[in-house]
Formats: sequence, C-alpha cells, structure tokens
Amino acid sequence: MSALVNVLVVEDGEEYTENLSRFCTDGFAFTRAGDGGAALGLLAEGTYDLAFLDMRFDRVQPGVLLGDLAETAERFNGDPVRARQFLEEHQGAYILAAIRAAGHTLPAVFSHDFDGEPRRWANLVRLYAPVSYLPDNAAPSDIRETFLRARRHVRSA
Amino acid sequence: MSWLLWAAFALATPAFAAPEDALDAATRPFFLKAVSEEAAGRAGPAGQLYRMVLTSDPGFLPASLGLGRSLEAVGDTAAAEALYRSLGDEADAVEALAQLVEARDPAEALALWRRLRTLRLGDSLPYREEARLLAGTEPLAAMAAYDTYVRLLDGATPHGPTLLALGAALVDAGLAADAEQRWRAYLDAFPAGDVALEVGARLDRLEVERAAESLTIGGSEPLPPEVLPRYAAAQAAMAAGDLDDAAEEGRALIAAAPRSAVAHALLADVLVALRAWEEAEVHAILACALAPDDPSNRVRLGLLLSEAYGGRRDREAVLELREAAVLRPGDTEVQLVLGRLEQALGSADPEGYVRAQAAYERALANGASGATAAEIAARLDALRHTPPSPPDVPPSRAPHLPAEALDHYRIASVYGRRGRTAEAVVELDAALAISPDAPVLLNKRAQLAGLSGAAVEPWLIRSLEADPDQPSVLLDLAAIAHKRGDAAGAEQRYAQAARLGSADAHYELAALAEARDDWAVVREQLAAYEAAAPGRASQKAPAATRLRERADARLWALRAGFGGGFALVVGLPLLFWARYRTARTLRDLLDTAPECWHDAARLLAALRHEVLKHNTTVLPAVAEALARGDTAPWEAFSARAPTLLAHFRSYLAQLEALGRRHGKRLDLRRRDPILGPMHTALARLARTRRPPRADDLHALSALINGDGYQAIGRLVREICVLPVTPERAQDVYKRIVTEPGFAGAPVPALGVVEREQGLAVRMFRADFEDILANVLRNALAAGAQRLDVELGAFDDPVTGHAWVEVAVVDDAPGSLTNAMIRGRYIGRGLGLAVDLINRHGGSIRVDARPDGRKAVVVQLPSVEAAPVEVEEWTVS
Repeated sequence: MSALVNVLVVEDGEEYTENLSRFCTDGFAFTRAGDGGAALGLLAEGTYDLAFLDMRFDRVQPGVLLGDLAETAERFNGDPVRARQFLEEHQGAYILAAIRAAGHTLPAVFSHDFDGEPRRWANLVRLYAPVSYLPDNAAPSDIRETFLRARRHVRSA
Repeated sequence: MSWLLWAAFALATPAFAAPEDALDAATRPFFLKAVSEEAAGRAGPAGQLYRMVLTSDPGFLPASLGLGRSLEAVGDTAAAEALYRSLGDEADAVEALAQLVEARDPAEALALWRRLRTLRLGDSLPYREEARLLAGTEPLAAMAAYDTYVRLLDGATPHGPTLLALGAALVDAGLAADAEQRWRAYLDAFPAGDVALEVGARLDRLEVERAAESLTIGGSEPLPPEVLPRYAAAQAAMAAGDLDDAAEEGRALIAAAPRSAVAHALLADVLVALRAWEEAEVHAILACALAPDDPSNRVRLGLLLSEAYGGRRDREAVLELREAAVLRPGDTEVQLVLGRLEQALGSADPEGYVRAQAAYERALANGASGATAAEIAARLDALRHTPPSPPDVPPSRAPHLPAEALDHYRIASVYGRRGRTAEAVVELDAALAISPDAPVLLNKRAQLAGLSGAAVEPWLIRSLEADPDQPSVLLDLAAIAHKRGDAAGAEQRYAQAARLGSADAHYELAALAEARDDWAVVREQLAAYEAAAPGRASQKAPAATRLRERADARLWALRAGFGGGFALVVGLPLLFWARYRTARTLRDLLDTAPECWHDAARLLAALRHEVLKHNTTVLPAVAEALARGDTAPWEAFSARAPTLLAHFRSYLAQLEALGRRHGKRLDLRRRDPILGPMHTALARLARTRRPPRADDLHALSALINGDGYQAIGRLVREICVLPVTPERAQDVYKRIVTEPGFAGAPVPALGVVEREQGLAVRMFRADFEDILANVLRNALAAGAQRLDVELGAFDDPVTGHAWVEVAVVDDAPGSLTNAMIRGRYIGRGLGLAVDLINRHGGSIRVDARPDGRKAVVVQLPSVEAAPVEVEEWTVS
C-alpha cells in the first residue's frame, strides 16, 4: 500500500478539492470526480483508499444524475420536478449505492450532517458500511483524522 | 262673530294650527309642559302630564302617542304596546307599534308597515321599512318594495343603509345584476350621497369577481416545470426585500401560467408588500377563485380587504376568514385573525362579539401558545368582562343662594350648556340682581362674558373680592395678565394660587421662570408641582413632563458641558437602546410565527453551507499555520473575509425581512444570542488585516464553527415537531363524525394500529390533521363500513431516509386510483390533502390490500429529534 492516502473526492463543485489540497497536504493525494458516472470510471481504472462524497449535487446537468427519475417521480405524486430535486439533494447516497453495486468496498465518508438523523444514519451504515460522515463545520484537522481512521480500518480489515 | 270666523278658519287650515289648539285652555299648558319635559329627556314627568291631558281629553291623539313614547322611554314597553294597539288604525300609532314590535316579532312589524301603506297613501316610509325587513329572507319582494320606495321619494336621496343591505342580499341570492342596477342608479343620481363611496367599492368588487369567475373554469393548474426557477427567483427576491424585482418575476410567472393559483397568490403577496392594493386585490381574488378550497387564499384576501379599505370592507373580509376557518378549523392563526375581525365588527353587529369569542376559544383549544395565547386570553377576558352596577352618584350640592336666585342660576346653566348664551346671560343677571356678591354667580357670569366676547376680568375681580380663596379664579386672572404682557402681575396671581395649593400654578410659575432662563426656579417649581399633583392628576401633566425633560436636559448639558450636543450624548444612545430592547430574536420569531419555519430553515441551511462550510471551517488550520509562522493561509482567508461577512449579513437581512413579513422586528446582529456573536466574530475577522494570534483565531473558530453551528442546528431541529400518535388519529376522527355531514349517520369505529412508536413529522398540527381528516372524510363519504388507520415508518432503500407512513384502510365500494388523486378527479377535500402533502415534501398513493380493501397511504418525511454522536469509525 502506498504511503499516500489516495482520496477520491466526489463533488459537483471544486471547493472540497481546493481546501483539502491546501490544508491536508501531509500524506494525502486527492482526485476529483464531478459526478457519479465519473467516480465509477475512476474507480474502475485506479485504486483509492477512500471516497469522500458530497451529498447535494445541484450544479450538474440532470442527465448525469444517478437514480431512476421516473420511479422517483412515481413516489412523489408523479411530479418530475420534485423527483429531480430529491435526486439532486441526495445524490451522494445514490453515488455510493452505485459504487457498492459495482463491487467497490473502499471506505466512504459523507460530507453531510447526520447529527439529527440517527435512524437515517443507521440505515446508511446498514446499506453501505464501511462508512462515516463529517458535518459541515468539520475543520481540515477533523477531515484528516477521519481519513486516517478510514485507512487504519482498511488495513485492519 | 269674528272669533267664530277665526276658529272656523283655524279648523279649515290645519297647517297653521298647532296640535294643542284642539285642547281647552285649562288643559293646554299641561300638554305643553309634557312636550317640554319629554324634550328635556324627563320621560317620567312627561308621562304623568300626558296622562293628565288624556284625563281631560281621552281622544287627543298627540297625548296618547306622547304617553306611549314616555312609557317606552321608562322601559314599560308592554304598556306602550297596549296603548298603541288601543289606538286602532291611527297611522302614527301603527308606525310606533311597528317599530316597537319589530325586535320581537318581525312578521307582525312587516304586516303593520303594509297596513300603514293604506293608512298613509303616498308615504315612502312603509315601503322602505318593508324592503329593509324583507332583504334577508325575500330579496325579490324586498327589491319590489325598494323600487316603490324610490319612486315615492320623487328624486330625494334614498336611505343608504337600506340600499346597501338590499344590494348585499341580492348578491347573496345570486341576483348581482339587480343589485348592480340599483347601486348604479344611486351613484348616477347621488354621486356625493352618504353611501356613494361604499356603493362604488361594492360595484368594483362585483366587477372584479365577475372577471375572476371567467378564469375559474377548470380550477388551478400546477406550475409547469420550466417556470419553477422563475417562481423560486420571485420568492428569493421577495425574501431579500427586492419587491420590484419580485413583482416583475411574479407577473412573468402569471404570463406563463395564468391559471396557477400559486402564482397569483405570490404576486398578491408582493403587491401587498408594495401597497399596490388594487392590483393585489385582483390577484388575491384570482388565487381564491382558482383554488377556493385553499384556506391560505381566503386568509390572504380577507386580510387584504380589511387592511386596504381601513375597515370599510371588513364585512366582506370576515366572510373570507369564516370560509378559511371552516376549511381549516384547527389552525390557530386563522381563528385568531377571524376573531380579531369579528370583534372589530362587533359594534355594528352584537353577534360579532359572540362569534369572536367562539373563534378565540377555538384558537385556544387548538393549542395556541406564547404571545398568541396571551393575546387571545386578553381578548377573551375583555369580551367576557361584565360592567359593574351603576354607582350611586351623590346628588350635586347646590350653591348657597336664595331659592329664586338658584332657579335663575339653574336655568342659566341649562341655556349655557345648549349654547344659548344670550338667554343664559339674562337669567344670570336676574340671579345677580338678587345675590350680587355670590362668587358662583360672578364666576358663571365671567364665563358667559368670555363666550360672548365681553370683558371677563371685572367679573373675576368682583368674585375674588367676595372670596379671596379661589385658586381657579386666581389662575384665570393670571392668565389674563400674562396674555396682555403683564408678567409680574401674572406671577403674583400664580404665586397666590400656588399658596392656596394649586398644582397648575406651580407649573405656570415654572414656565414663567423658563422664559427668563431661571432654571433653578424651574426645577424648584416643578418639584412643587409634582408634589402637589401626585400621579400627574392635572391637565398640565404632559406640558410639565416636557418642561421637566427640558430642565433635565439643561442640567445634563450644563453638567457635561456638551450644551447642544445633549441629544448626541444621551438622546441617540437612548433611542438605540430602546430599539435594541424591543427587537426580537430568531427564536422569538419561530416561537410566535411557526409558519415561517420552512423559510427560516432554508435560509439558515444556506447560511451554514455558504458561509461556514468551505470557508470558516478552515480557521483551525489557518491558526495552526500561523503558530508555525506560515502566514500565507491567513492572507488567503483574510482576502475572502469581507465577502464572507457580506454573505452573512445578506442572510441576516433576509431573515429580518422574513420577520417583518410576520410582524416582528428582529435585530439579529445585536440581540440574537446565536447569530449576534457569530456576526461579531465574522466582523472582527473581516477587519483584521495583520495576522492575529493563533489562540485568538482558535477562539473565533470555536464560536463560529462550534457553538454557533450547533446552536443553529438545534434551533432548526426543535421547531414544529409534531408527534404522530394513535390518540391524534382518534381525535381527528371524533371531530369528523360530529360534523353536520355525518351527524346521525351510522359510522364505523376507527381502528388504529401503531406499527412503530415515537413517530414524528415536521409540520403544523393543523396541516397534519387536515390531511388525515380529509382522507378519513373521503372514506366515510364513499360509504366505508370498516375503517382503520395504520401508523408506521418506511426507510428509503437508497438514501436511508425515514418516512412516516399513515395508511387509511377502508372497505368503501368504488375505485380510487393514483391517477384519480393526482388528476384531482376527486372531491375538493382530498385535493386539499394532496396540496398539503406536496407542500410538506410527502407523497400519497393508493394500495390494494390482500383482504380486498384499499389503503390510501400518506408518506411524510420523518423527524428525528435526538442527536447522534459519531465517535468511532462506523462499520455495520
């Protein structure tokens, strides 16, 4: 295993990649994927120690969103607008679902605050473990610490 | 012979004869005295005198009528009624009887007015009264009577209230065209008539409603997906206070979706904020017409009508709010607003107070809390308050005067009160001729002299000579001296009055001292004034307060040496302090106006995302770099800090604008315990140019990223959490089965199955109960014989989201499909439920059950209140 921690950052902007590159330079390498399809492509081609996932993807074209729009619209009283919004707001979960479905077991870290949603977090752990999360107010040191714990988990697994 | 000729002439020309001329000379004075007593409001003595007249001449009709009026005035209506009835077909008696019996027996009153038609041929009054009495029950007959009334008026102005009542009744009966015809005829003939403004307003309303009717075919249509960004833009512009932009977006939205009630409602709200009342009313009416079952549209229109017309259209406003209250009986705010309007209308319609009380009681039963509950309690207390028994007023003490002088004095007083000064002077001079040195007479004479423009001072001086201990006379004389520029004379008189205990004299002495800039005397006299007039029980109190402020200001200015800068030193800080103390926090807003939770939560989430995440979260790392001597990260952050502060302030401004729309003035920068400190910290970061100490930066980060972040999260999570329990379902069902539509009908017992405990949603209780009530009501109306509610939860298999599921399972015949629900091929109630569900991010569907029954399943986002701690790497 390389000394560097290879992190696949999946976000629709570039803020995480910029901040992480600036403040977590010691022992980390970051690769950005702008949507779920790009993330799956990178995972198929390379090896990553963990995936860092933004949750909300409202700056991508609707066509690249993962998830079944028609099926989701059926859940929301046939409303395609609400369905698209739902897919955007929770796209991180759909991407992780696709990563697991493709057979990738690397640890994943959500950038999302689940502090007030214990039941939802338990569901996500059940569905996608190994997984963790960092709330919106996480400092770079918190992020670094979480990434290092993720790699220790991989080594111990 | 000549006397006989005169008498014959008098009898033949009754227009020149007074009624009492028919009486004999001995009886006539009694009748005249009775008339005079009645005119003076002394019904008892008047009645006695009328009886004496009738003893002498039982057939003298004016005395009978006068006796009837006197009996009514003293409350003996039974005797008055018997008297009128005894007078048979005497027209005046029939009229009096009709008025007397109307409250108890409107049908008899109507018959009497009709009888009066034949007794007074050509009189318009009976037709007017007939129209008024029939307006509410037989609008067509009322209209015919009114038309006859107007014809008989022969060009005179019709009675405005009757016209308005008739028109309103015609509109209610679906005869708006007939109402319009009569209102227009009135306006054409009497453009400056008493009710011309009101008639014009009602005609406007008819026109607008007619325009709205043409757009209601097919009902409201949802916004097409392509215009949703424009809708969001209009909302954002409104939230930011850019009302012109919001109005422009709203109009474009309506151009793209003219049948969307949501679009018309949004534009109406923007136009109300712009106070463009006319256009706002049009769109509020259209929103109402397109979505008549949405209570928020009714509330909007009702409030607009009430506010825009200064109360003139409160009657229409209250009708809208009553509709809203029926549509949403569990909505505290609707009940409160309805109560306020009903109460405001109570002076014109005593039933309004009863309805207001009922609305407040419903609001309290719905669980009003905080300031809302306090307001309702205060209003209910006022409505239930009963007046005390009339106190026994001690008889006035007559001045010590000879009886004859006293009589003249009393008559002069009555003349004086009626403004008949000349007669009063005559009477008073007669009294003074008897008692020339009586101060009470001299003072009254001075008063009358003043009213007639004559010299007052001589009378007052005479009075003072007769009795020197009269502070009020001294005050008057001082004022006269002051007016003619004799300051010394005035001061002497005021000093005399002050020695006699007059508080006002002390004030006047202080005012004179101010004029000569003697501030020590000003304070001394004000102190004496305040001691002599405890509790400011003096007409001079406001002026004395202002003078005290000036004196204190002078003292401050002298002491501080700031002179004219007093206002800057004390006044402005006081002003700021007062504004600071009265401003509210974000929690105050959410507690008192929970309906703004969605908007506030959206803004707070955006604030956390835009300002904290990606930005201030780097502060600890920046501090660590500074500790190592690396200033580059700080310089990069410092360059962005002013922009971050501007973003933060922009969100605060949007939250404060939200508060203003809900009637709350927020001062989040200074008063809010969460956002205030965060703002202070960000402002400090923005103005710091040199690299700070690492410890300071860590402290600021802890405040923003730690305490502030957590507090915002708690605030958003704690508001509007509604437990979903079997008891709530049963309560809703109990309410439904007592509704008039189901009263007396056999309804099944409701079975409730709680598949999971601790379920909660984030929505208003009224909304949740409306949803459940409408689904249950729909099942009962469809003929359900077995009805169950299942409460459970559903976990999203991809996102992990928990959803609360409420399934209403029934065995009603007939089919109900998803397409029917979504296409609104259903009753209005279920359509309202679908709207509410959509608004709260939920969904509704129809499932078939294995036992042949169907279930209407409502899914709503679940709320999880308990925080979770993530301490270890989480593995399943």
